[in-house]
Amino acid sequence: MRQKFDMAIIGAGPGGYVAAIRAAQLGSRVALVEEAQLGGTCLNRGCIPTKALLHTAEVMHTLASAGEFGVVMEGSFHLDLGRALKHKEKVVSQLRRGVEHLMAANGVEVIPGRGRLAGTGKVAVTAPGGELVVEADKIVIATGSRPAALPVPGAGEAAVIDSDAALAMAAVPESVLIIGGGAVGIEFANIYHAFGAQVTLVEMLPRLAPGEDEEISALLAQELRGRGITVHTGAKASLFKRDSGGKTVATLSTSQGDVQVIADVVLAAAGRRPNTEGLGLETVGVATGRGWITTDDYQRTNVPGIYAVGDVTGRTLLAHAASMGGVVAVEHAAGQHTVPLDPSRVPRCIFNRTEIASIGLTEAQAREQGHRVATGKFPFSANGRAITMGPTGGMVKVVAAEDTGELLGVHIIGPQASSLIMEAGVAMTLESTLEELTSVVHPHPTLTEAMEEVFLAALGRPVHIPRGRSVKA
Amino acid sequence: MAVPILMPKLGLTMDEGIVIRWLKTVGEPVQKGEPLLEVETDKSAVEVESSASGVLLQIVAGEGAKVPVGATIAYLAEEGEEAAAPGREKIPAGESAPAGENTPVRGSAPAGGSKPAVGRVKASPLARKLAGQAGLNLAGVVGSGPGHRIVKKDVLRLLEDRRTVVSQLAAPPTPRAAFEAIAGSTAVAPGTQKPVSIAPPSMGHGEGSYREPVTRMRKAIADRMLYSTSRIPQFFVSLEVELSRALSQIEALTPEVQNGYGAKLSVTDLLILATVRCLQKHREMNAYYLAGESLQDTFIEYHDFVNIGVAVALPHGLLVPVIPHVEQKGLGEIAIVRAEAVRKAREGRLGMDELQGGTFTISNMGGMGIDHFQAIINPPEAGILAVGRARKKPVVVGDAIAIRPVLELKLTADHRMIDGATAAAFLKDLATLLESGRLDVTYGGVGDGDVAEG
Repeated sequence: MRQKFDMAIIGAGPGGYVAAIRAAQLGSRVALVEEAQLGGTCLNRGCIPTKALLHTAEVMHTLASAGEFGVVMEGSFHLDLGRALKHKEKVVSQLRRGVEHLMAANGVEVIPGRGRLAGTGKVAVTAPGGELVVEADKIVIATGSRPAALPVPGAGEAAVIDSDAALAMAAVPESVLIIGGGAVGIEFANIYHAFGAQVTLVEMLPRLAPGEDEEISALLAQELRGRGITVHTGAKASLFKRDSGGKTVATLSTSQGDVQVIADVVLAAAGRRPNTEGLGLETVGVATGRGWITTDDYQRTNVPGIYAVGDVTGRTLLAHAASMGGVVAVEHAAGQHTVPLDPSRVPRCIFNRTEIASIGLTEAQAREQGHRVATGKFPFSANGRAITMGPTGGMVKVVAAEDTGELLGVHIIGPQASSLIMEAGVAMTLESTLEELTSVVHPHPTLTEAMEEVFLAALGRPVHIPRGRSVKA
Repeated sequence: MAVPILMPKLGLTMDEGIVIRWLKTVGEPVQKGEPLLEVETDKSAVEVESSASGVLLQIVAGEGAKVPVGATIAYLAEEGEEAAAPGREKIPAGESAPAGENTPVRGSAPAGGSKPAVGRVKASPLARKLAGQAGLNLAGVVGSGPGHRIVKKDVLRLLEDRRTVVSQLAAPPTPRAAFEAIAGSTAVAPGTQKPVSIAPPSMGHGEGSYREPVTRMRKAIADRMLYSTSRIPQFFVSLEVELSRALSQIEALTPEVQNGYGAKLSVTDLLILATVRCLQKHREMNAYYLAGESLQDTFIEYHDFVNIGVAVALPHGLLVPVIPHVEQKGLGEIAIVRAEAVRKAREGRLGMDELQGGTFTISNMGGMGIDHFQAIINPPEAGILAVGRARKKPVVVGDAIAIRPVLELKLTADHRMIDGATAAAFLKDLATLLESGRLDVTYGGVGDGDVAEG
């Protein structure tokens, strides 16, 4: 069986399905090939289900701290893991149905099965019912990535799980060792710790969230440790062993010598690999670099008519970057004026209890690139709205170019950081400078006032903290 | 008291002007002579300097307003003066004001420090700021941002282009003259200062079509050539040169050049040398036209030296390496320097300095089998010589027909500085010199005598 389309998209994650919608809007006949569920890793195994469980954790925290705000709990509360997982499933299935509906509403033909490049303009789809060939003028590869296996001796016999398995946990383990101090590791550390497990978080690089500004990393480590989460940085898991009781004994190599950690479960949260196996890249000669598909600014591969977007390109492994990449790809394919995705304007969020969000360059990166840098910092302890919410930690930090006031980076650790960062996202995309931003009126009393203050601070004239005093978050 | 700023008369035929953009905001200090606004006349867009010093108190004619010459367009407060503003109604964008309205009327004070209305330039604040810092005019630039908005990247690219072009202009008398060249080299349509709006090809372009982003070189060629053809009035004169003697001369000199310089002598080398001799005689052809905004800042710059650019075709474009100070070189040296420049161009090893400072360009397509063509001036040079294929053909000698080697030379000249007679005299001298077979090929050999005799 053969079918002819203007565009075939392989993979229905946030890269693929958004590309499909945009292509349909541009008048293309679109086939969207997906072997599992619409929504990809993000919706089914990543961003969304973890946020559902993190919300459960947040509710528990709210209950635990209720007394502080004058709410007295009669009796106790406890986690019902089954119901928490049911909440998670409900969220995921509701959103998945939403994507299905969007595909239908946009006239996107969803073809279930595993897609494979089968010559120029051809995608072979293998489904339980047999194989069919989809013909399309343009092809977008959006197959995503998966967690990398831990290259540690003994990993095979130890109780190592990845984030997929962790989301489906049948019971809360007593102790968890998390390898990888990036967003995934930090978020699962929050979930497990809130659910009552003893958590050890290990990062190979010298600091947690190594992609973030150093000051943010330092505040994060301090906050996690303050909650009773054990953090090892500059530590590499070098050996796993199973002891007689079925627990995993992990050896961590650190600069101070080896450390042993015993845990019921080891969560591998370090690194991801591209989903390119069996994709037929070699049949048409799509070039890759260390496994990831090589693309240009317009998401084009080296093969005319074939684009790749999202994780599989190895560039900015974030759902929202994949979606925008998908839009760029199909707009380019349709001959439209389009603006390439600029990684320096993609916000990053870590859903720690005290959220972390950032965009652009860290202070160190900005200096490395030779910018004359002006920084501003503002602590949430000086923001009225933040204080009403309880003990306030965290801060906003801005990194700007001294001569032009261009925003180079904004870094937030604090309440609702993931929403606050968007003021910087809009500002950077519109290329606003400190001068315009300091004339934006922010509503009172809100957390957004911290943004106004930090822009002022970068110009040396914050209102609600004394000028020139060093900021302590 | 407030000083009125009037719409200036920028040309003999100008009776009204359109305010394109205010370069100062209300409340900003202005020095006399500092650029204050841009005005579009029926002929061109011009930056207008402030006729007084002070603080910009009020803008009467908003961006886009059409105003008669002599009408008040703004008020300056003299320094130290309290901003008591004349309260004339602002002329709304796009509307006209009556002539002669230049009597200040006392009234309410304007809002201080307000930003100028967003004019026709669609640019990000950062792009504006960067352009402002560099003194770059963004009018007419088509941006690469959403909706073709001008973004930082575009300004950085323009600045890079400017650096290239400015350095190609050997010490222009005013930076503005050089700048004028660049402003035009970005996507600006002939004479209008309006964005070139080329509708993007319809989507879903046919099967078998695909797009590639252009290279920096391609873009530079496109911009320069568009600038040249849209801003420079070019005309052409051509003639056929009988080559028998020149070829004999080359043949005679070949072993000497081969042994002395290790270079293979070609017709191009002899042409370069002959051209240099003629350029030294016809200095008008070895000059730059530096267009300013007025009579006072427009110049023709003559050179004592001759730097010949030689167009070299590349797989995806072309380069014009420059052979400097050819007037100090003999034929052998020209041959080896040219061969080296061509080789470096093809290997992509030319440095910026080897592509700059040309005073005249020669383009030879004879090797590609072309009999005759016309070339486009490489600004700000006065001319470019197009050289066709040397070939045998029947020519009239006396009253008989003979078979002789000939080639066609076609000179393109900038009519702003070169008139027909000048171009003709230059080309005729060049032909005579080549046909004489008596070109002095040593350094220091002055062609004047030969040319005059011919």
